[in-house]
Amino acid sequence: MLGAGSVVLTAAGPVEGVARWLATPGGELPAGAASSPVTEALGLLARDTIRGFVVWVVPGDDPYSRAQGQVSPTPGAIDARADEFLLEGLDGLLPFPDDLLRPVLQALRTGSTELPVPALPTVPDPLAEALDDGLATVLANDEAVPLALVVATLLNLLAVSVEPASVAGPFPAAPFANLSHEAKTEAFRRLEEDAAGTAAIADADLSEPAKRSVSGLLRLLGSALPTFTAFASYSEFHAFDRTTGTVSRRPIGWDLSNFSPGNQVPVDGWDEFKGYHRGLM
Amino acid sequence: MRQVIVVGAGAGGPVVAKELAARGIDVLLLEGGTAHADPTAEWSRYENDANNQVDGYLRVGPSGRFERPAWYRELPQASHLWQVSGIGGTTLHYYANSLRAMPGTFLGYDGPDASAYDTAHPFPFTYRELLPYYEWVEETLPVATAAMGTKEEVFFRGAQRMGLPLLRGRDQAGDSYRPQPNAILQPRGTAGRTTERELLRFPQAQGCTMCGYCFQGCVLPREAPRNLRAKRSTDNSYVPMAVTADRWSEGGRPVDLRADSFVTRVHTERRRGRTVATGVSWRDGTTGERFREDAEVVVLAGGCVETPRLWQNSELPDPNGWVGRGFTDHAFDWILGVFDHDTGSSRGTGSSSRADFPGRGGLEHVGLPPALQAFATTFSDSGVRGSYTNGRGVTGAWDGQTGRPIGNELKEVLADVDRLINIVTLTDDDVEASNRVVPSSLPGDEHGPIPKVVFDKRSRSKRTRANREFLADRAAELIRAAGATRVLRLDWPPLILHAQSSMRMGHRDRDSVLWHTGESRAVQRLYVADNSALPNGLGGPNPTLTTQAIATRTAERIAVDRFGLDPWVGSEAPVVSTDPAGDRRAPRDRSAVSTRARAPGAPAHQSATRTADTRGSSRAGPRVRPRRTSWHRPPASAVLRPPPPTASPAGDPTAADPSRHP
Repeated sequence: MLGAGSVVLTAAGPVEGVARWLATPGGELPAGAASSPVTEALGLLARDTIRGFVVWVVPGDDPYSRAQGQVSPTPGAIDARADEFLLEGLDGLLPFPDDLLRPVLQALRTGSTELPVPALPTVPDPLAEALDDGLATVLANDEAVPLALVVATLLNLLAVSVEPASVAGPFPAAPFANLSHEAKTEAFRRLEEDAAGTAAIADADLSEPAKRSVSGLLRLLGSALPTFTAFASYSEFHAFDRTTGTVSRRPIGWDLSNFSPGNQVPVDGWDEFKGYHRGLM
Repeated sequence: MRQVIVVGAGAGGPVVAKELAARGIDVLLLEGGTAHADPTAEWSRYENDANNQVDGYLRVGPSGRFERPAWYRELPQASHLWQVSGIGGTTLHYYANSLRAMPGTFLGYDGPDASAYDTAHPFPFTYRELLPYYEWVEETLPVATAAMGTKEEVFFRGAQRMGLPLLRGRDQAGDSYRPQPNAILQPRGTAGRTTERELLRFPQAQGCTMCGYCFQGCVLPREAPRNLRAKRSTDNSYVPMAVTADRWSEGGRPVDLRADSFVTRVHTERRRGRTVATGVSWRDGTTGERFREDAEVVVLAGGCVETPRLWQNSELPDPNGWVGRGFTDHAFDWILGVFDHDTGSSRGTGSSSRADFPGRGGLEHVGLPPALQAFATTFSDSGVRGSYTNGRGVTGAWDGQTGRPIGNELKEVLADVDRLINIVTLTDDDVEASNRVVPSSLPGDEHGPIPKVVFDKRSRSKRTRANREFLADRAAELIRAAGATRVLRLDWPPLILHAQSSMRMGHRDRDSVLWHTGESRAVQRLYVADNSALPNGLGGPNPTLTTQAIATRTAERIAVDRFGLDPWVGSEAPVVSTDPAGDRRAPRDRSAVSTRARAPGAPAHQSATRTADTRGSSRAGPRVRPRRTSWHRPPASAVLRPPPPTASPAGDPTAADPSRHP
């Protein structure tokens, strides 16, 4: 038995289907949807979308950077595992409940993107069904939707609104990852400017504590996603073993920024003392 | 029953605890976060390991960072709230810049620029009255003029080329630049003079080794006693003093310090028609047990977000609606210069130079390691440089429009972190009622409803916005004068790190929560002694020193008004926090301990009571001793210092105040 979202999903593609499912309160959930292919499909959607995003911030020489048409000869966010950082961070730090996330998606869908659903290209049914089942599993008996999946869906909705043909490309579950670097910038502009602004029309006049909770989340994401990506890319995250508190290699970001040349661990000091300015002590 | 319970061991709480403990008062200090008992072992100083909001060791959350979730606070706008929980609080990551407030932000200021400040929300007493408390804290920490490194030379060159004069004193007077007055032990011995790890051990190296990791917590020089580590975060200064008060103060009594003890409710009762604080309840973060204890006085010091949250969750009275309101944050912005030569930006202290413009605010020079540099360089309210502006895209003395670099432009800017100079603008921002803390509609955590922190940057007052633009232009000019080939302005959204005035003290009851003494106007025997008690944004200077001076003043008022003791600031000299008696590893001679009489109202000792597991319950359960925090246990012996000599009076702390406390 499939939930209400599946009809849309198989007809209009996984992106719109996921969005509609998330935006539908109280939808009937399918039973026993957990399966390895399902988990893999959802993971693919989130992973490829987030990877498409992090290389927008810090490109490298990898398939995602090449797909956007902006590469770099030095390592980028994928090499620094910024995608894993973002996926873990979004789910770990921001435990938003369904009640808030559904309006976010609803605001995005109806307010700013004006998705021409009938015109959307379709994707292979097995993938769509797997995503649908996986989403149901995620939602079943759970108070909080994984924010990483919601963010990925937001980015993909925006991607399709910028470039409908982005549903086809090297990353079929992640239209955002199929965009050019310039088109990704436009998609993110729509998140920061249009979507948040549209949502604010609905929630700016509410009284506290509900005031600006939905539009505020969109604005928060607009500032946080590039910032957290950059932070992760230049940190030791990819090389760090938290059980020992040590790194396995010199962090990529240290090389990218020429930080602490020749060192792999934080130094205990520098020979930087140059006295006191004009003798002022 | 305690004499005093202090809630929060960040910048302000340990100051109150230490001062009262030194007078023999029985103090219980409760900290909601972890103990940070052995930072040398626990802190790697790697940027993500420290600052990751989910599981970093400086996150906001309970002990067990890999097992227990962080505490989320709602931010309904583009912004970042940078709290730190655990003993030391935000002083763990602060740069120890220890500035006095602008004199123009105090009641009674009549300088020629008096109208340039937030004249509606001054300190409820004069600058002169606070000076002795500043001096007391400056000597205790201690505060010293910062040494110079490569990046400071670059900054000073820019400031001089702008024509700014050097300020030599600690009191702000006119536009000027200067080395920061920092609560950092300055480099001595091999510190600052070598990179060899083996040569940088205490006592061969003393004070700041100029490692560049201030924001990840200070554990250097290696092998130094905790109270001789370079940065004077309260875990290295006031907390060691508080838990050893019997050793360095005649008649002192060590503070009972408990970490992982998150206070969830302040209890009150009605006495003679007034609401009076009677104690608190807290939850043990490691066991989930809940405790309650009564006290003659309760002091809140959880910070600008947690203190109003506790107030609201405790359903305490808020007759004028100003609990949580009036939040100031210095409306930070970030200006970045790219140079074609070494600037040493990542080396040395986090910040050792600044420029100030009274009535406008200040410029703080900041050096960062790469991940934080990347964070700062992409945090923007102006969209993507060259592509879209998010309704902003301001132009000025910098290159192009404001905004974040992205993609290969970002990599180009960050190609050499030591060829950058950063300046953060510290805006003299207005107290505005709309910037506030309210209960969130998101699901609560184990401590009740979570706080929602509202900052509407684009609707800040005209003066605030004008000051911010003024400072951004001055920052860009300074960086360019210093020799930058390229200057970017990020136009940050609110980065709530200098947090002030959300429970402000004031000279009138219609828009303040506290009397000038730090006591609540609405609840007797309930005081606030953190940044939230500040009446305004101080005109731009970093807030910690002023918070600690006010906390000292509040502690003295508690001792005088509630326990009948004599004031001491201005009539005694403080013991410096580096005193050997503050090292808990020091030997001790108990026979030398004074038996000076305790303060009036001697405490009934150790009477915390575990309550039923219901939030805010006033029912007492079976008596169970809550856990002590292990690192405070005093060793068997210590050396007692003689009583401090009497100092020459530096001011009259009991001077008449226009806002008379009842």
